[in-house]
Amino acid sequence: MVEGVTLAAKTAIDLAISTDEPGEDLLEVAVREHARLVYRIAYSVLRNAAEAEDVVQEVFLRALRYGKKLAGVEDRKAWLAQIAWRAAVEARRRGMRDAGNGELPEGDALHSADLGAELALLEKERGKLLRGMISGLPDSLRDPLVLSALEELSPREIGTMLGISEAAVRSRAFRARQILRERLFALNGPRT
Amino acid sequence: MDPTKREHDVDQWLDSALSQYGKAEPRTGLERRVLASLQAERNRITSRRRWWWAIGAVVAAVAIVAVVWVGENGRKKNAGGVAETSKPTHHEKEQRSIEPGPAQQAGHPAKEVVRRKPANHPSRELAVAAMPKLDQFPSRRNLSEGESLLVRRLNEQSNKEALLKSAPSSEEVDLSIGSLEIRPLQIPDIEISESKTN
Repeated sequence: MVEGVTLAAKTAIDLAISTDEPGEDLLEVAVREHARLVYRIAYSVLRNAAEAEDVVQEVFLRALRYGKKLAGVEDRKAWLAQIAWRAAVEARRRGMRDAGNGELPEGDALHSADLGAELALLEKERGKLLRGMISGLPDSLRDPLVLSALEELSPREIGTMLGISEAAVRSRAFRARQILRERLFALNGPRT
Repeated sequence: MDPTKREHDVDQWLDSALSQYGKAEPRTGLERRVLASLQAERNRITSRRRWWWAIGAVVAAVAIVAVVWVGENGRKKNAGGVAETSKPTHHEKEQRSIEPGPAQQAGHPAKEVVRRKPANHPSRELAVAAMPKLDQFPSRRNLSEGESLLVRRLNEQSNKEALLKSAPSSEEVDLSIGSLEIRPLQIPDIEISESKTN
């Protein structure tokens, strides 16, 4: 008798609780479709695999807390990308505060596992050089360039994320690229 | 080196480097880890909400019980209030006469009233609880000896007054000329001759 009452109360509470949770399938689909993009955005900002994965977890937890309103989001990819960008920038600021400098951390992932040892070393060297040059760019130019390097995002989506127009994204990315070219020329050309 | 070719090489290098910069593959099983984390968070939220619901239900139940208890208590007090104030018990009388409280000594009448309030006595509680709630407030009670004497006296007094009022007084009788009896004026005999002679 008591067990029956307890079970009924528990079921009623569960029903009451489950009413404002987001659709499970919706969030699962979002995770399966956009987790990699979220990771790449976070990694492009943080250059650290573990921190980027932490940001991915945080982004989807925020989406979970967003509740049923997630169903009302029209462009889920852009929405998640924006959250990922903000979360990554926040994490970078925290990291800078903790580390006490403004330098980007060194990348720890070897992206091309198929390459030979010599090529991998060259790749790593090239990446290090580029990171150093990119970190020297001003924020307003660096962010559009970094996001443009991600193939999944269109200039319109990048503009939405950064709160600027599509044309501004294109022009800033172009200017950033020009600065990098000039620096490379100053270094007596590419090393490859 | 040809400057045009050099520029071309730089552009190519930059494109390649930027492309590599944007390519980052997570460790395998990222989605699975994220989904597991979401499930754990869901469970946590559910259990937390369940606790809140349980606490809310308990608080509501306690509030209802408290309200009912206070209501019952108030009703009992109302029913037994007159009975309690009617007559002090023999024990209370003794206590009052023997030991005056400190409030009484200090001369604070308000505190005195508080002191005089009888302690909870189980037998009285039972008696009060047994009494039904009456329609009339304050409820009827038997008159004390003094009160009954007073009532009797008042009744007698009022009966007398009624009798006096019903009996017509001499002043209230209508006067008429016919009913008036006018006696002839009687002059007392004065013995003039005797005085003259004297």
